[in-house]
Amino acid sequence: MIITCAIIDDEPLAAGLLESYAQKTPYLQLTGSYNSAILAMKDLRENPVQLLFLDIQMPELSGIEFAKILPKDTRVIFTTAFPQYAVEGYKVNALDYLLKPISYEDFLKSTDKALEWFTVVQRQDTYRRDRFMFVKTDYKLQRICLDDILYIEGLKDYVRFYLKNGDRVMSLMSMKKLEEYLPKPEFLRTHRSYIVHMTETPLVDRFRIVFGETYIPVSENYKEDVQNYFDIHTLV
Amino acid sequence: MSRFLINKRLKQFLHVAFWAYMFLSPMQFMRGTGMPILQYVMNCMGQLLMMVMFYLNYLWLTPRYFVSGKHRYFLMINTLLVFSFVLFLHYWGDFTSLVFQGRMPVFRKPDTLDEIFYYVRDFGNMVIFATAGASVALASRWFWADDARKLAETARVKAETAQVKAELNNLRSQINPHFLLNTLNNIYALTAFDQQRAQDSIMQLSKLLRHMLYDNQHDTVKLSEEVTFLENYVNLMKIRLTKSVDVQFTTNLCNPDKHVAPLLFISLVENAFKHGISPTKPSFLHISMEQPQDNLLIVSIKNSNFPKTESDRSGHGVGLQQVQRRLDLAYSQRYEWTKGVSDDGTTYLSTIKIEL
Repeated sequence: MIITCAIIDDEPLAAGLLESYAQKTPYLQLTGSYNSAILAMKDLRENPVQLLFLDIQMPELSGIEFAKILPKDTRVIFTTAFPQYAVEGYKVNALDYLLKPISYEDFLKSTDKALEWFTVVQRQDTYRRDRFMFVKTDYKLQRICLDDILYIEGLKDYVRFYLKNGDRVMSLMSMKKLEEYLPKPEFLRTHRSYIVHMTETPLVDRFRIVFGETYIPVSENYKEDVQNYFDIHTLV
Repeated sequence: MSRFLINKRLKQFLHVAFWAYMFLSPMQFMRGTGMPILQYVMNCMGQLLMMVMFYLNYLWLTPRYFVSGKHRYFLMINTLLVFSFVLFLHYWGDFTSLVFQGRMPVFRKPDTLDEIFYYVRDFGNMVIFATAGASVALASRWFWADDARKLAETARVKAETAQVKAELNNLRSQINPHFLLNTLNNIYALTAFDQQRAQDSIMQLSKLLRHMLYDNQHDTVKLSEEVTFLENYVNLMKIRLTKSVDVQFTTNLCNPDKHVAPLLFISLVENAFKHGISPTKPSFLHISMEQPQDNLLIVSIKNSNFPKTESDRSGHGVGLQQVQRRLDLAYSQRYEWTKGVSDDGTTYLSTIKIEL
């Protein structure tokens, strides 16, 4: 996977160093480096990048202010010499925070985080678009259409898919990852051990979701999202 | 202080005059009585004891016991003194009569009422003078307290001045930590591209720090040293700027060995970099230091003017206040400072002329 990125830093040397780091990182594709947020604004709006290395302390327009007007698909890694801005940085939903001087090691740690993030996003997009996924069962890959799923049960390291035709498919993966990849709110976690395909819910009985003989509980931790979903979809 | 001396003289004169009157005034009754001078002197024992009573209270009892709140001791000692003095005077009177008339005084009949009258008179005198001593002591204490307060005030002002000096020393030796951190970060980046320039920059930073930390312990430094310091600073700031910014530093010194107060102009140069450089618009910063004659230094800093934006977190003229204070302290009445934005608002100019 390739991530497109850009750099904004008012100090040319700082920008230069990041450029050299980006160029030697295989999965990064540098599209631009700017000495001012104002100069970068037009480019970054017309051709959004996925990842932006953004200095906070700059004259005219600070990095924090600039981050608020970025396209929403662009994720930001702040770079600054002053840790007191860290809190503010996280308020504008920064992916990470690099403290100058930045070594290549620090840089890589951050971009690895970005890689992980964009990998998840890519999978979400793929599953959402193609409406199916392959899951590993024993030594085979089995196709599962999202539309066929009723609900999913977690069993330690395994998950079990319950399908409309009555089939059950076991696969080695974590509930957490699965929950991340599946489109929301079509699929919602209702319990530590359950993910439910909400659009296929046949019956709700005293806040338990009923699939035939099976009553799926809604636990306190996940109650809010589920309640919301039902509220919105309930005719009153 | 002269007022203080005059007051002291006046006080001494008043004391002498009063006691002279006390001792000499009974002489008018002596006229024509043929009283021997020795008897007159011996009769003065009454005045002498009043004087003792007065000064005991004035100089010792009041400051030692009354003022410090030991009123009981004060009263006890005074009572003791009064009674013993009255008794002593009684026997002293008998003694003088015996010496000069060979008998008891004629006017003193062995009448109990008369005896009591004399006792009462002496007793009253003693009490009056004890009270007078104490009162004068207390009154002058209150009166002079004003002067004592003034002395304390002078001492306080002196201490305050020393404190301000220490504070200024502290202020001028302060290295802007942001500058240090940013410069180090840039040098770190520089090592990846240009080792030679990185080396030069570390050298400049080292010299700059040495000047800030050690040379500025002295009240003045050589003009040449101060110029080198500013040059190093400007060079270090330059590595943080894009090449398009026009930075110039020119000097023209006729006597670089002349001395000047250290670190006077650094705040102004710092400000110029902070507010005079725009990352998007063409900017310039021209610094010149001229010494057209031996005792005249003209420093002018001219830069493109970009007014502060709201998000700018820099200080609110603290730097300029500090420069003003330092100039006042080091070159009071011997400097001229003009500063301001040009009419079209594009240029900021700050010029300091100093008589070295």
